Order: sequence, then C-alpha cells, then structure tokens
Amino acid sequence: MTTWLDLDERDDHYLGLAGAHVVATEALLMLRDNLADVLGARAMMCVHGDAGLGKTLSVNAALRALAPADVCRVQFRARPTPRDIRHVLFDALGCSGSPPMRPIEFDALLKRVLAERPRVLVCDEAQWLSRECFEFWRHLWDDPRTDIAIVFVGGGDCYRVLRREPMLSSRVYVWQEFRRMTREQVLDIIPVYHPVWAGTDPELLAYADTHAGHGNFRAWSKLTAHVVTGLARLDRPAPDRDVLQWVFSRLGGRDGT
Amino acid sequence: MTAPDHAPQIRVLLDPTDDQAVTAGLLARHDPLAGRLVVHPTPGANGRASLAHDVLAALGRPVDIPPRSRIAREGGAWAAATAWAAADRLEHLVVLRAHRLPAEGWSRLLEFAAHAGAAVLLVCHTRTVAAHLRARLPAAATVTTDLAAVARELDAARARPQRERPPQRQYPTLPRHLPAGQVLHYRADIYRQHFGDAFARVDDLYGRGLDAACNWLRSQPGPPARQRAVVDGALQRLLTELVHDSPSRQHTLAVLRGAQAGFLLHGSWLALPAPASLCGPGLTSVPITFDVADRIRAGVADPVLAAGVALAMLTGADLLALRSLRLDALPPPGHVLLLPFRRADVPAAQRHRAVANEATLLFHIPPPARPLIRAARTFLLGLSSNPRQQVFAGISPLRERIAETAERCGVRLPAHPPGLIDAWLLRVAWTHLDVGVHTNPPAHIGAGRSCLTTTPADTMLVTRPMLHRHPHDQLRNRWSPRNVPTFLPGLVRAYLDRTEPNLRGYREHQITVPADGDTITRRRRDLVERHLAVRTTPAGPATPEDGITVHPDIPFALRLSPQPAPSEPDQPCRDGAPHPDESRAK
Repeated sequence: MTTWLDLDERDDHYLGLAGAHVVATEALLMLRDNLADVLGARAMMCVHGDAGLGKTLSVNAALRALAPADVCRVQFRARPTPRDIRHVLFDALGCSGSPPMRPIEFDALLKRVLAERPRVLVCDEAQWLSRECFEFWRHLWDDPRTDIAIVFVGGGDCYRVLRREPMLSSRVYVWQEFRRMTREQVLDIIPVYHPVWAGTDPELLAYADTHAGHGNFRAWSKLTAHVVTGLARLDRPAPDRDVLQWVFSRLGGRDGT
Repeated sequence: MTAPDHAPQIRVLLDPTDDQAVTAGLLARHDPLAGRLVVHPTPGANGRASLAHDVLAALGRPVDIPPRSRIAREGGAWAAATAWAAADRLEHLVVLRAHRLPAEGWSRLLEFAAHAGAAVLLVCHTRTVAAHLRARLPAAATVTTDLAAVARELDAARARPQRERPPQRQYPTLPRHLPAGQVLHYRADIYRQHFGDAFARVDDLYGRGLDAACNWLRSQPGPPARQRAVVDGALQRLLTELVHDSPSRQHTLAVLRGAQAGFLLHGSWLALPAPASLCGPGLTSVPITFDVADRIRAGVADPVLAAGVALAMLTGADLLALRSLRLDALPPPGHVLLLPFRRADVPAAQRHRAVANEATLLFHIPPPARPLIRAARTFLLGLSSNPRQQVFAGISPLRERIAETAERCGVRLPAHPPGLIDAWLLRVAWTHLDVGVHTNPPAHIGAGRSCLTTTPADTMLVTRPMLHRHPHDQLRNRWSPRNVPTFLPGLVRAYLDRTEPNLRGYREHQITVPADGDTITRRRRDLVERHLAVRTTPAGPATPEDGITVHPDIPFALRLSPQPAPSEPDQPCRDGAPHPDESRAK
C-alpha cells in the first residue's frame, strides 16, 4: 500500500529513471480530462490495458495535478479479501487507534473518515479483486455520507473482470483503455520522453521500437536506462546501432540483427 | 418472541442491471423518524448477528457493541432491533442487496418486520429470486420490477405528515437568588423584592402551576375526604409533569407554589415540603428533551441501558432505587414510572426520616423518553415473557453501567443524587379544607370566582378596605403550614364577599397566644401577628371587636388582587393611622 503523499514524481517512472519526463501523450491528456469529470461527479472510473502502457504513471501524474491532497492509493499483489481492503484503507486514511474487530464497526469508521472531505481512492491491480471486494468498494461508494471517487486501475483482464460485475457496469462513469503506442506516436513521444533520445534518427527509433520498445512505455523505459548505461560504457555521445546492439544483447540475449 | 400479530406486505424488487440509481433512490428515502428504514447490509460480515446489527445501525443505534453484551448475540440483537423498531413505529423496511443474504437472514427479516408491523421490500439485483430464498417467502409475497411504483409508494408515505415533536416548554431566566417562602407570601415576596421584569418571569411560571392545578382539579371526580391527607398517584403525575423539565430549583418552586395557590382556590391544601436538600423531579432531575433522547438512542443499542439513563435523569434519585425495579413498574404505553419505596430498603442511617414506610411514587415520563421506555419493555418481553421480571437484571454494577452509558451518549446524569427517601414526592399530600373560591364544576359567577379568571393579575376585584395596626399587635414569625389550614378558604371567601371571616377550623391551641382576652380577640390577634390577617377598622385596646380581613399577601398569592401588602414597617402604626403604604395598596 502506498499513499499519494509518499510518492515522489520520479517514483512514477519505471526504475525511477533519471531524466525521464512525463510526456503529455494523447492518452494522458484524455485521462486527465476523464479524471476531472470523474472527480467532479464523485464517480467511479476504470483505467485498463496491458501492463507497461503507462496507466499507473498517467493516473498518478493526472491526480497529482488535479487533487494532490485527496488521493488515497491502494494496491494489492495477491487476491485480497474485504478484510484486507478495510485494513489497508485504515492505514492509508491515517485512522487513529486500533482497527475495529467487527466489519460493521470498521465500515462505520471508514465511512466517517470518508465523509470528512472529498477523496479519490485509487485501487491499482484491480484485476485481482473478487466479487466480495467489489461489493465492499460499492458499499463505501453507495453510502450517501461518503464523498469519494474510485479509480480502478488494472492490467490483463481487468476490463473483463469489472465488466462482468453488473454493480460496476452501472456505476463506472468512464472506462478508458490504454493501448500500445503506434510507430508515429513513438517517433513523436520518445524524443521528448528522455534527453538521450533527443535528435535521434527516426529510423533508429523505429529500429529500437521494433526490436525492444514494442510501443510499450515500460519497455522503452527499460531500454532507455540501458542506453544511458551503454553510452557511458561504450563512450558514445548518442545512441546508434552499436549501442542498441549492446543493449539488445543484455535485454534478450540476442544481438537483434 | 411471540408470534407475529399480522402479516405485513412483503415484496421483492428485482433490479437485474444493479442500477446505481435504484440503490441511491432507495437510500435517499431512508428516514427512521418517518418510519422508513433502508438497511444496507455490510459486505463480508458473516456473523450470525451481523444482519441484526445492520438493522440496528440503520435505526441509528451505535455499531460499537461490546462483544460480551447480550446485544452482541444473535437473539439479543434481533430482540433489540425489534424493540427499537416498535418504539420508533417502523412502517417500511427496505433491505438492499437482499440477494446476497442467506435464506436464514430472509426469515429473520420477515419475522422482524412482522413484529414491527412494517411492510417489507427486499431488493434483489438479479433476474429472478433464487429458489432457496423464494422458499422463505410467504405465499402472499409478490415480486415486482416496477421501481417507479415502489418509489411512488414510499414517496406517498413520505408525504404523510411527519410525526410531530411537541415544542419544548420554555423557562425564563430567573435571578440567582429568589425568596423561597411558603405559598401564602411567596408571590408577594417576589413582588416586593423583584418588582418588574423579574417578577413577571417568576409569575409566568407561577401562573403555569396555578392554571394547571385548576384544570386538573376541575377534572377530578370529587375532593378527597375532608381533613384527610391523600398521597395520590394522579396528583404525583400532575406535579411531576409540571416540573420534570424545570432547569433549576427556583423554577420548580415558582411552578409548585402556583399549583398550591390553585389548590387553595379550590378549597384544598397541597402540602409540599421545603425543597432544600430534597431530591426528585425539578430539584435534582435532568430535563429529557428530544435532543437528549436522540443522543441516548445514538449512543447505546441496548434498550434497557437507554431506559436506565432516562430513568436516572427523570427521577433525580440515587440509582439504588432502580436496582430492583420490575417491569410492571413501567406499564404501557410508557407514560409513567411507578417506583416502589420501602423504608426497609433504605440504609439504616437514613431510616429515621419522617416519611411513609411504604409508598409508590409515580413519575411522569416526558414524551421524548417514552420510546426509550417502550423499547426497553418490548426488549425484555422479547427475551422473557415474565411481566414482573427485573428490569436491570444482569446489569451490574448498575450505577457504573448507567454512568458509563450516559457518558458515551454525551448526556448528563444528576450529580450525587440523594436516596429515594429524600424524594419530595414522598412528602406531598392533598387535603380538602372547605368550600373553595373556584366552583367545581365551574360556573362563571364573577371574576376570580372561576378558573382562569384570576389571570392576568392586574384586575382589581375587591376594593381594599382601610388597613390598620392594633397597638398591641406584635408581629411574629409568619404562620408555618405545619398544620392543615382549614380556616384559609373561609378567610379568602370573606374577603371576596366583604364579610367578616368566621375562622372555622382555626386551631388556636396549636399556636402560642397570650392568654388574655376572649377567644375571638385572641384568634384575631394571632392571625394578625402570624401575618394571616390584617385589621380593617381603627380600634384601641378597649375595642377588641375590630374587624379583620385576610392578609393582602394571600389574595395576591391567589391572584385575586393586584398588589400584596407593603413591606412591614419598622414600628407599629399609631391607633387609627392608616397603613403606611395604604394608598399604594388600594
């Protein structure tokens, strides 16, 4: 579990890549607009797409701009239960004292805290949640006293998991899917993403995307980190095919030719 | 629990799309005060008592129930929910997410609603009702998908007039120190020492007591046996109703002195003890307002503890008196408490006090506290059918438990209240004296001669005679009402009729008087010296037959004259000289 205020902007980036910028991609801009609407409506939102496409980074970046003090981010690595969510929220919301023993007392406490001021609850890796857990989120959100928006972020089959729950289908205000960058988007975005790619030959970028980036932000982040290292090791001023070959050999064990 | 009296309307609302608008719309209609309850079950709560606790929470009761309390267990939780629902007059029960509840939960809900006499709407966000749930429905139950019709019905219930809460009786602010003398001079003392706005505020309370007593006496079948003091339950109820919400002893005294005046106007004597060091309603009690009752309901789920707090507040006596309280002391519909007193139950050091050995004290229960009392009664009868069971059985130590509950509710209990033997109600007696000034049954025979014609006080009814002081009169302490003042109605009637009082019932042998002079003279002088009468004709030592009339404070106490006697002069007047303030007193 992480609360928003614990997150440094650099933590948004994969590997905490130094020098990386948050690029105002079309998806990020759309997400910011969507989140603004969702926060205004105190609604639910689902941000889904394959891993590494920048969902979490975009949500973090957008919420940092929209509601920096009101965000409560929770994330689960295994299949959680409502009890797990209650305890995570208890910590994330900074509730004092000991967690109540009985669910009804726990929920009364959480609702009381969530009624104090507007909050945005970000639930990452939502594809791991069970129906019982979604019931719990819905229960908090449906309560007329709470003042919350909920953002579910998930990869893999998150869309399918959430869509099969009628309670969420009728409550999610915006569904937004993140997709891989097209070749044109790669050529536009990557040079802005990190200074190491500034001025790089588009052909070389296309080559890198074909063999390692695959339109995936996380792959590009990893590739960029290796390129920065490679430039130092190979004593080159800018990326070229030799540097990329060196990087590919580290990434995939093959030379990429 | 006993079997349900009648089957309420039971419906299942199907919402297969699980539309948020359905849930929001129904939750918006949640209004326990209007008898509509929307239960939103806690997800992932699988305890046997969980659903009952959800109902209690919807009713506004606290959810932090001590694990070892009887409300924590399934039977106790449902009994408490049933009791509160009955006390709050539940009409509609809506249960959201009902399709997720176990079949046993449906049975419990239906039983609960039947006891409360409430219609039930079970909301299932599914296409059909699952077979195992349908099996729990009675044959008369219906299934609908017509949300609009359901909403219209709930809105129609909402459109009905809200259950009214009578406005709280207001009490004016009074000066910190006020005279506290007996009834015959109380109003006059206030007038003389706090003339103006302060007197008007006290007199407002005094008139409240006077009118209430008049109204009550008019409705009585007849006076009690003459010269026999009566400790009367109905009288206790009248008096406790008059002062249960009084904010201070000063206010209570003003109201009760007015009530005494009302009794005297009807030819009766209401004996009240001096309030100092006594306890009871209006003296050591804490007023129970609707706000206080709401705080109690929000602070405790156990109806017996809630009732305990209310009883501690309204009796104003040590909780020891409630320890053995039996359920039949709180008869339906929860308007009175019949609190038994036995001298034998009193600590030995206090038993010598002059009160009856056994008595039943009747306390008026104010409207805000009645649902608390009704809930406790229903709850206890739900657990045991014994009508004489002890109310606070199993709640030990009682003082600490009630104090802890009151603190949790944020309400104040009487601070260090005396034992029940010091209750002023134990010392109240009603004695019929003589024909009253007010007729009974009422007939309008002149201003001041029938109820409600004595107020306001600014109507001069009888021309005051010239007042004189006999040179031998030595004013002594005022008459103290240790004895029944049989002569008083005669004195007042003679004043109104402008005749000489015959002083029937005057007991001179109980009063120390000089042995000189004849009986009539002694009686008259004693009445004058005891501040009960004044002389009306100038007379010297050789004319003992000088007339007397009632002391001006007394018709003023009865609101039959606009002014009391002036303050007593330092020196007696000379023969034939008018009273110093006579011109003002006219």
